[in-house]
Amino acid sequence: MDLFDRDGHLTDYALDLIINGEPNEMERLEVSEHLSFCDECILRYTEKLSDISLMDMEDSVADTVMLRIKRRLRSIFVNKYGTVAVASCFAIVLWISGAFTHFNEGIDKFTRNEVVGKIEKANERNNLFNDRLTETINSMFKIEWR
Amino acid sequence: MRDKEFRVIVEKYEKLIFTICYQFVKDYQEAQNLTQETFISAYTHIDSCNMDSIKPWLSRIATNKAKDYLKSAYNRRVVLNSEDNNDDMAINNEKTPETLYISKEGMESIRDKILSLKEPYHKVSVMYFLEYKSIVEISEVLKRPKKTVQTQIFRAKNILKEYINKEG
Repeated sequence: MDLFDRDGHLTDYALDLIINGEPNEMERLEVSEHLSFCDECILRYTEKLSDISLMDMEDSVADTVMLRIKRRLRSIFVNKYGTVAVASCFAIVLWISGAFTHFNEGIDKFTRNEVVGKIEKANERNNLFNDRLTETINSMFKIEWR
Repeated sequence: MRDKEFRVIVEKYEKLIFTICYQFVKDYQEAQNLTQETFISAYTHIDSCNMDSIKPWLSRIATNKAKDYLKSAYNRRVVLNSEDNNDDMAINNEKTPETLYISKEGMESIRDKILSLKEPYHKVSVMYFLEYKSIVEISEVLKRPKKTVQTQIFRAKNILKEYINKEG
């Protein structure tokens, strides 16, 4: 008896074998693989399961499942917001220790030196230019300043 | 969905999911583990589920979990066995003129074997070995996931290998 029909769907024999029979490992693997993607066959399988008495469990899994879900959500929360919290704490520690102040002072110093230096250089060039201009004019008119 | 509502779903369907898992894995403890895994996965995606079809939706998740478990056990066994057979394969791979002659003659026989394979290997084998279609193309035509197509081709190859070794 075949598990699959010519269209590649599970036969009634296959579903009955899984539900009531003793399928071997390969048969169970092939059927589960097909059910994992076939909408038509999963519906047929689920409908057939409605006609049988389901297996009893020693204990309900509800408590364990809800606990595991809670833990997983907590873990996701910690991963997501924990990184942000650590980064914020680190920033606060740096701020309190004055690291940012030293950094700002350094920036200021650098800026001041740069600006002042540039102004002084500009003044020097200016003065040199003025002196040369005066010399040239004097030589042109041969004026001696006493 | 609130936790209380989800708990109601768990209590309503846990027997069904456990039955499905047990039918496939045939191990009580493992079936319990997979039942838990099924509901935990379901919780993550419950908002995308149409509540009118929650039963087949949960059943699909359960069969997926069972499939992954069975596949993992099967692959471990197949890999171990193939490691043992490596030496034999090395010896048998020597190509003598006699071997080459036989393999040419045997091509028709292998072709017939491919055509006689039963589903779910028949269509994928014909398309892959005889029509030279890619896995993507086969997946699209047969509306099967690519991973499933790859697995089925791999198993079809094993069936053909066994057949070739038997025929000599």
